[in-house]
Amino acid sequence: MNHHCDKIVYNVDAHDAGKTDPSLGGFIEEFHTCPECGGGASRHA
Amino acid sequence: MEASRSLFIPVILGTARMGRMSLHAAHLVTEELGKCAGVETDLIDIAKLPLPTNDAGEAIKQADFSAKMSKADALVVVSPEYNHGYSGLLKHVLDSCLKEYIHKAVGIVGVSAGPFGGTRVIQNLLPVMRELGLVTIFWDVNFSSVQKVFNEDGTLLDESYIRRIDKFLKELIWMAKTLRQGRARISLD
Repeated sequence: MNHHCDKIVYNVDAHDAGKTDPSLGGFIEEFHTCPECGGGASRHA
Repeated sequence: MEASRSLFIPVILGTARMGRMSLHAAHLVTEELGKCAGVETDLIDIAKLPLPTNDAGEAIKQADFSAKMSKADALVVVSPEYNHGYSGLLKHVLDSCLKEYIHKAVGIVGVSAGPFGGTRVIQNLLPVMRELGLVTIFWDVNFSSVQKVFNEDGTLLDESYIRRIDKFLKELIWMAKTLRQGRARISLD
């Protein structure tokens, strides 16, 4: 998978509070694409 | 191989209003896209998407729409201009996905009964597209005085739109091909 994008996601739910990077004010979601089929996936960094 | 796979570029019709003239514009753009070599398309009518209105965002993601956005290499959004803005339902639909859009191209077709051809709704949609991770192209199609562009059964009365749509689609396809390569091959790191 090719990691081609990071997006900052600002927490709105209390259960996500622990994931927050204090230097960014939210958490990073990584986006990946398969070089073979073009399918995408994402995950919390 | 990824590079030999056809591009998938669906057209989203962004209004549910009865009597919408944007339907004719969306049909025309879909028809012209279908003539492009190596491109598959589909017309997605937001009026037919079964999205609830008692919640919003990715919590109401609809499987078929999500799958089409995941498969898409680019999007065309056909939007009428209502009170200088886009329809609330279009925003509701677009907000139901996120990762499906990232680093994909989008072109916007504005439609209005007046002389400005949806220029204001296009300007209002640009920051929304950017925040969704879509990459906007710098060609638009503006259907001004749309009631004079099509007759009631949708027949095109002004052939000059074919050339404008062709220029718009060429730019969109170039961007779609470029971003497909970027997503698959070019790493952030």
